[in-house]
Amino acid sequence: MRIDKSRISGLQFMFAMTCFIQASTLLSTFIASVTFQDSWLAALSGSLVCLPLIWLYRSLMVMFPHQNLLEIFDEVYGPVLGKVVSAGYCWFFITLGSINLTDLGDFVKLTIMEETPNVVLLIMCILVAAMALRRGVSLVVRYSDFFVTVAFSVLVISIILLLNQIKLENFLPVFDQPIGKYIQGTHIIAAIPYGELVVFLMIHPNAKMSRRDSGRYLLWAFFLGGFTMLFTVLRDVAVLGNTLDMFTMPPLVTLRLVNLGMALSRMEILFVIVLIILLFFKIMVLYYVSVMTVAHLLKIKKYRHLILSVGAFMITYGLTLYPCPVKHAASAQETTPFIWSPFEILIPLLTFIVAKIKKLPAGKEM
Amino acid sequence: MKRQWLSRWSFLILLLLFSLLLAGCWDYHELENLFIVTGVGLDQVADSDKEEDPDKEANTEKMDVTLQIGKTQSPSTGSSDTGTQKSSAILLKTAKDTTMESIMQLDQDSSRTMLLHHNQVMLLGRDLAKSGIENRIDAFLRNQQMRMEVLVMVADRRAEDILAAELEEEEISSMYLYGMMQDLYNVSPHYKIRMLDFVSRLRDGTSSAVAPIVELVEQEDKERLKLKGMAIFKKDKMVGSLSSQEMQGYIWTMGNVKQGALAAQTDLGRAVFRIVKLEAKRDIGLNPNGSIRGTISVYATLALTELRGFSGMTPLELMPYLVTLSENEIKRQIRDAFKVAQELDADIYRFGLDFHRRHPKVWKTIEEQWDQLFREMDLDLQVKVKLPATGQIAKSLEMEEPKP
Repeated sequence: MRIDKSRISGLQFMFAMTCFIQASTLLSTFIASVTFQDSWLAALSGSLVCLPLIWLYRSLMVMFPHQNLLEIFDEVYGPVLGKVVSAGYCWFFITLGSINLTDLGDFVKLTIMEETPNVVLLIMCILVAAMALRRGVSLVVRYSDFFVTVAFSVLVISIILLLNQIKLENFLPVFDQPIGKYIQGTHIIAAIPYGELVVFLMIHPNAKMSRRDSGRYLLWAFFLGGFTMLFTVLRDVAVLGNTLDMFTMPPLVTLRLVNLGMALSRMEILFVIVLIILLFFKIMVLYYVSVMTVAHLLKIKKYRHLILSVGAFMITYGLTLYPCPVKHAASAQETTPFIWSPFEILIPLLTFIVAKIKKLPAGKEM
Repeated sequence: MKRQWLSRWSFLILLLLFSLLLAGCWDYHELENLFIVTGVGLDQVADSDKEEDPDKEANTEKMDVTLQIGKTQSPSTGSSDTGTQKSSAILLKTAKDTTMESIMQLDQDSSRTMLLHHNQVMLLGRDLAKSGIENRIDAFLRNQQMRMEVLVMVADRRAEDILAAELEEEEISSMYLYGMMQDLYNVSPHYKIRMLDFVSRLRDGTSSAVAPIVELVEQEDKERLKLKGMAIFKKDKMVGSLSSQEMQGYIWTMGNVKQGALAAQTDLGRAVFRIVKLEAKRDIGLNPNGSIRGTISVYATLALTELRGFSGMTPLELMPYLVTLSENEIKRQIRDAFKVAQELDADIYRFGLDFHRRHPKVWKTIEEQWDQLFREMDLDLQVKVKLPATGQIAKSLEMEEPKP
């Protein structure tokens, strides 16, 4: 019983995941004040640590090619326990969506539209996303390849334009922090951008791809997204040096420094646009997944009726989540990685093990 | 049938509603309602104002904030009064505890809104710089309209005088300053101190920040702005300065020089060189006895641009002589600047940071005593000059021997 019957290609699936990871480049902030000039190391190790996680998601996708995450739960844990786990995920997806929504609001407010009320920005975003959602997943991910290309180009252009300000000494000294800080940084990177890929377990049944492809696409998405993340952090460290941790948004400050004579400066608007696009995409995916989850839990076939109500809920929820961005940053550094871990790592792992023991997908294939 | 009709109409209405949103309800700024701030000057409250203020105690926290505003008028509009030379910059001044309070006050008292995006320079008055600026510049970092590229400079006397200067070359003095620093940036990037560079040094802990000093000079009734050297900060307080000559020594120590001139004088005559390229390599380490050893190797390529004297020398003798001469001159200037820095305990060369980067483990043990170590530091200076060209002529007229 699939609620959304539209299909997407494997490539689109891959670009959607890349886009999703890229949307988290803003999060380089969260590790900057933990690992300072070694933030790139944390970004690198965080990515590497996630490789097994990617493998885990891939295995689940291969084991249950026609079922999304919630249907997997129903099958593995039975209808009652499965619903309980699904409800947990419902909270997880909606919270994640709301957090990203507030991120977008704060970001736009801080960068270009200071005086515009937050709620207006959020409503606009949700309305546009809702229009996409009505047509199902195929429209949600349709422009992901375009978004990825734009994000890449801006990254590459910014690095070229900043070449004259890059100081490689800024990376020294390496390994100057206590070891615990590296673990904290790695954990943040692992949990926040990569672990969130778990939402794609809700979408994979809609993607047309073979068993072999799914692994390949996941790895490519991981590689492209990780590459963006790493190079963003590298660029920011090289340009900003020891002031990196001072700013709430290092990439923005870095781009503001672009200055080639009088002609080429004030480039930050490019970054702002790219980030708005990427964050919008991430919100749209999370929004879609939340709607699907609610529809599944309430056994509603026509999910279209749910779209606006879930959106309204996400807006109000998002507005009340954090009293201020400082609290948000603090929780992203300290608590969020721990709260997310069960949803991103433990439950998928447990599901995988239980499914293996019960030899579940084998019965299905016959 | 009816449903379709309804949806088409509702769609049209929706489109019309969107057009209302397009105009934007918030965050619109019309150019004619803006004051574009081109320079900000911070000064200690002037003495004369202090006496007028009955509340003397509270005065210590206050500072004079001067905003220089470029007029947005296009040249075509005021065609009738082109003859009368009107200044194209407006100065607004007020005294408040903080920069933003002042700006808000000025905002209230003026017909337009301040736009800070295009601020070119932050000028610190000398007295204010001496009393510490860490608690003064927060607004320049925090405010979203402020950019990290803004130049940091110190005014030789008061910042407002520099902003008020009426120059021949450029109508707005802060644009002039920007042009001047951009020009010097082509000589060496270390001349141009942006807010980011300044703050980066303040955050180092052991490094001392520097900032160029501008001076207002009156020459035959005309006002001119000159670069007078560099202010040296210890923590956030200005403690001294480098003269123009010493500033050159400092710039050479930092390397990466692409232009510039060098003059050297001896008993035999005077030689002027143009710097084609000057690189400095540095190495810092710990001596066995616990003192710091710094090695600076300067590699310079020069070109001869003017000679006076040196009569009786053949070009063959002269060239090696000039090489040694210029090497000694570079050494002298670098040492002069270094002496000033050592006397002030101000590590303007970021040797401490270098040491931290190269020897992070040892650094933790010596960080506390860095000031003392820097003061007693030995500078091992090696200068290698290449002088490949003599210019268009090989000999000078004075050198020429009378023809038989």
